[in-house]
Amino acid sequence: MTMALQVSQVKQIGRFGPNIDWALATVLTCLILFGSVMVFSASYPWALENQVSPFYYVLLQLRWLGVGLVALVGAAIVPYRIWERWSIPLMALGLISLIALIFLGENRFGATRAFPGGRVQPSELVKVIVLIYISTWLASKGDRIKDINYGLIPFGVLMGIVTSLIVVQPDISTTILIVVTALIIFFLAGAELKQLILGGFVATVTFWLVITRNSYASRRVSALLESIQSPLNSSEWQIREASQAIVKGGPLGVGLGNSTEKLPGNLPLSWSDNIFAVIGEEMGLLGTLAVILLFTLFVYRGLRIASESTDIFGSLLAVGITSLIILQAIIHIAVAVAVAPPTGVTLPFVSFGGSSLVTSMGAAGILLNISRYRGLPPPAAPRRGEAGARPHITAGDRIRGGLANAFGAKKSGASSAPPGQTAHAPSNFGWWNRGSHISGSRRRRTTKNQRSDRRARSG
Amino acid sequence: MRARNRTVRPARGHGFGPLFDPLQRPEDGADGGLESGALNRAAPNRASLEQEHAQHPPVSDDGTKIWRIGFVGVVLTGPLLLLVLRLLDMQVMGWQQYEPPQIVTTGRNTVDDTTSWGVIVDRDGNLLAADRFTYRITATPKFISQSDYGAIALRLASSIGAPPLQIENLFMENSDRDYLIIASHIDFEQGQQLLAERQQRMADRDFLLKHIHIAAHPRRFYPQGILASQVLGFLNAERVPVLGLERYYRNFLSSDGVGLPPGRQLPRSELDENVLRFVPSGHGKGLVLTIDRTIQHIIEEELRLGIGLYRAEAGTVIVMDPKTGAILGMANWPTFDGNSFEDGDPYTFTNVAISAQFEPGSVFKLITVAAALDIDAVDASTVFVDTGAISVEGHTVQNSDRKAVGELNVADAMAHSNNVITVQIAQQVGAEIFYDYVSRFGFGADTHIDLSGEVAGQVRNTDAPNWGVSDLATNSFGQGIAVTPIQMICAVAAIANGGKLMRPYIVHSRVAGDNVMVTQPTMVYQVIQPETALRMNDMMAHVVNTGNQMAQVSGYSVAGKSGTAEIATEEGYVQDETIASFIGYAPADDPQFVMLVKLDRPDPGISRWAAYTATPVFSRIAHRLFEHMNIPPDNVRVSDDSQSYSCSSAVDCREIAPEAASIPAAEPVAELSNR
Repeated sequence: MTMALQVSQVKQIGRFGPNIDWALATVLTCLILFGSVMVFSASYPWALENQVSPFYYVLLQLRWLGVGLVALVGAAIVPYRIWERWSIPLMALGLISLIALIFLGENRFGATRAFPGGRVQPSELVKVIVLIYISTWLASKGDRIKDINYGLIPFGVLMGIVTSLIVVQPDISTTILIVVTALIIFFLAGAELKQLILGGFVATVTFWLVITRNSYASRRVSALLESIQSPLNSSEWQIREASQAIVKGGPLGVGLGNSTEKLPGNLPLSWSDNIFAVIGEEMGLLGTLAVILLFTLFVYRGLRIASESTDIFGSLLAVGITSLIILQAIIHIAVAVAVAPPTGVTLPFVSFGGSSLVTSMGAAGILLNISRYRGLPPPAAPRRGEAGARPHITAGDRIRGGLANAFGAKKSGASSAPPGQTAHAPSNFGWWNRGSHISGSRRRRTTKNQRSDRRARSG
Repeated sequence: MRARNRTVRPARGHGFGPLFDPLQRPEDGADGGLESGALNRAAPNRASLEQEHAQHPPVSDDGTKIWRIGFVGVVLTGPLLLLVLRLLDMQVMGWQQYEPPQIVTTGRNTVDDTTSWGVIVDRDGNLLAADRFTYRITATPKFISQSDYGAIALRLASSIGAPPLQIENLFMENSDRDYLIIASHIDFEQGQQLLAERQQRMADRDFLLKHIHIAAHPRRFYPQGILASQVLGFLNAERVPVLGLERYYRNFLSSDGVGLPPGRQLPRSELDENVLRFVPSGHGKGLVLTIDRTIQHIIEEELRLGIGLYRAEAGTVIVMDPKTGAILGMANWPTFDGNSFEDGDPYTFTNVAISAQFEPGSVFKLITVAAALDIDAVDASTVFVDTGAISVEGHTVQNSDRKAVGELNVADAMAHSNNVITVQIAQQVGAEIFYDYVSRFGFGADTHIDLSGEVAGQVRNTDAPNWGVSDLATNSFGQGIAVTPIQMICAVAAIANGGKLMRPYIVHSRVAGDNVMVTQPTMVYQVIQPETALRMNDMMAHVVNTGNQMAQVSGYSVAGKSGTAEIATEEGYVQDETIASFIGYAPADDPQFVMLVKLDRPDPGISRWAAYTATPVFSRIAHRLFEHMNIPPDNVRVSDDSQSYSCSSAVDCREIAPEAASIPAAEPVAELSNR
């Protein structure tokens, strides 16, 4: 598997260059195509019930897929450092849209999450914007985030503002997503362990308070606790129907298109919030494990891109995007198998839903763009208003790129960097090439940790 | 070494590392550490590199960065692994044990519009209720172009029987609607024709009627009209059963309901051939009633006549077989027609015979005397003195005619319906024993007849908080106590049946497919001893012969008792408003039926007394019942019976004659109520 994924690295396809992560692109393609099939399968009974074409929802989904593809390709072309440069205006835009939602939003299904028309859910986009902003912010802080005054406290205030704006919608699941993702980035950026524990503790207590104070959420959570043991007998209708669908599927499923739980009147929103249950019923364990495998590959590729990025912002952003998408998938699947209370979280790339699909694909585009620069110097952030990558390489880039490339070349064994850049290889920070440049006696004294590091890197 | 390490690390200007610092320190301490070694080697270049760092902080110390990313990877894939375990549990273990949930059919109140219901027939197989299919015509005017309205209306008019213009207007007014009911109940033939024409047109690519929808819907049909309508109940527009048998047996009658309860089942062929004309219905369910259509017709007709004659407001007649508790007829007036319940007054939907309570009046004296005779407190010949009034705790009881008669024995006191002597008898019995008998006769509790909407009545016994000794006095002649007609007739039927109180029932048998479950008569209590019942029987015959002569039917011995109760209103008892009732059975020596006649508020200008209103109605109905039921007159019957030549009275006859009807042993009531 690993080999198959790595083979693509050496290919040079089109303008995306040598390093773009074709394995990740393959995983995404599988998920999206599978998702489109399942959206059609899950939605056609409802479409027929509502006297529209059975292809109504899937065509809508394909239209959004087109938009998402533009977002993906665009994000993959634009050097990701542009987001670092634009993070503050983007964040302002996100906050404004959240505030505007409070006043202009339309109440659907008991929550104000979308603007009138129900088409655009700003919190989907805000998730990514917050990621970009936090990554920028943490990357700029450098070592200082260990200081509580520079690290935890501003971080907490920032998260408090954003999450409280989303909690009032109320959209607790999105809030959890953002906070957990932010904590992961915070951890990766080098937060002190005690700060992290403190932050996690504060977040947990806050959520506990929010959930118990919110009757809508507490009812769902208490219904869940009752029904984890025997979801089939749950008092909550959605849990019962979803778990029934999963159980009915069995190992091999009832066959594509044969689900009965998706029929109108059983499982609600089977093409978006509950699509995993339909997958479970129609494709069985085979299908559900395949989906989980695809997402596991996504984690693997995403984190690998992060580890190979030479830029702290790129690293943080890659981990953030990976975490965000995977956490969303985890919550979605957990709801379907009745270990999490029913929430309106979609399965990224698979579920029906315009905002969700476009945002996920855009985020994946950013991830792909970061992968282009692995082992290479990070692109300089263009100034605001200056779009696109700079075609020429500055001196600073050369130095940095050379340093990074020395590292990258060793690992991939297929360096495409121009010869001029390799001249800088010997000058390094010491920790880049620690693994191979130490003498034999040192090597013997390396710790187990470092050995496993090497294994992980070469595997 | 450590000191150097500390000075070096901040200069690195990146954030990774502190988390795992404790792990790395020992190495540092041991031999200088990898990091510091590396940094030392790079020392000459450090200044420029520091500058480089400040500009562009490098991502990480590679080792700790990989560690942290790996840790994130574990954090992210760990839940996925748990979810995989959960999925394995659900889709392998759970799947093997999974059984599709059973469709819950019991206890439902609403029935699907298309659910068909079983038929109900009387004891001779005459159809009383059945499903009939009618067609409903609906349209989607939104999809019909305005120019087609005329043509469609013209076509539909002939089927519906409404003027085309009216239908066209209906379309015009609702032209933007999705759903429009044009006609709810079109005859089966008309609907079939229209449906066939629509299909033909569609086949010919003529889409005029494309958005006209013709669908068959079952509709409950009561071929006998108002006959026994309150006993049957009805299905409302949503086909939800309302009251009566339809309600009580809803789970049995509906096609998706339950089958027969466990118990003794017979093959369907055991039933009478006539009964099986309509039973079972298409889906295999049916009820055979104990009701006799003819008896029901007789009592309804005579009740209507009696109410008209005595200008009463309402009335009730129940005819019952005392030996089994089977209801032969049950009628109330006013009533309604189940086929057009929409037009009926909702007040007429309730079956007054089981769900309205009234003060029974003098009829209740039977209970008092039966209790007294049963405990041998008095005898039929015991003499009491009527002083015209008796005062109990300051409450004065007078006779209904406000006169004093003087000395009277118990039998004559009954015949004259003497209140004062009844009070004295009740005092002889004592409150505890009196109320014990009242409850044993079934008052104050449901009779558990298989009809929906029964009430229990109200009996204030000695345990009641506001009970006083004067209550015993008034209750003894049937005032201050509330009973239902069905309770009253059951109590008197117990007297006619040798003291055995039977549970009343109205369904003779339930038919489900090829199996039949016949309702077994159930004895509730041996209320009074058989000898007491015979003495009561003689006394009631005496009452008819000397007091209520209008109840007599020539050639037959009749036993009974009339009762006139004043109606309690908020202002107390109103003189001229009475409930007149008569309960009797015949023939006295071998009761074939027991009958209750109750008239509410007969016109006092004619008579407010039961003896002149309810009693003649009883007589007329009894006369017709003797004919219908083929009961020979006493002289014929007694002379036929060679064993009873020597009897001089009914008491003696009973002692000689073998038990007329073998009454099955009492069964638990619960079994029958478990329908």
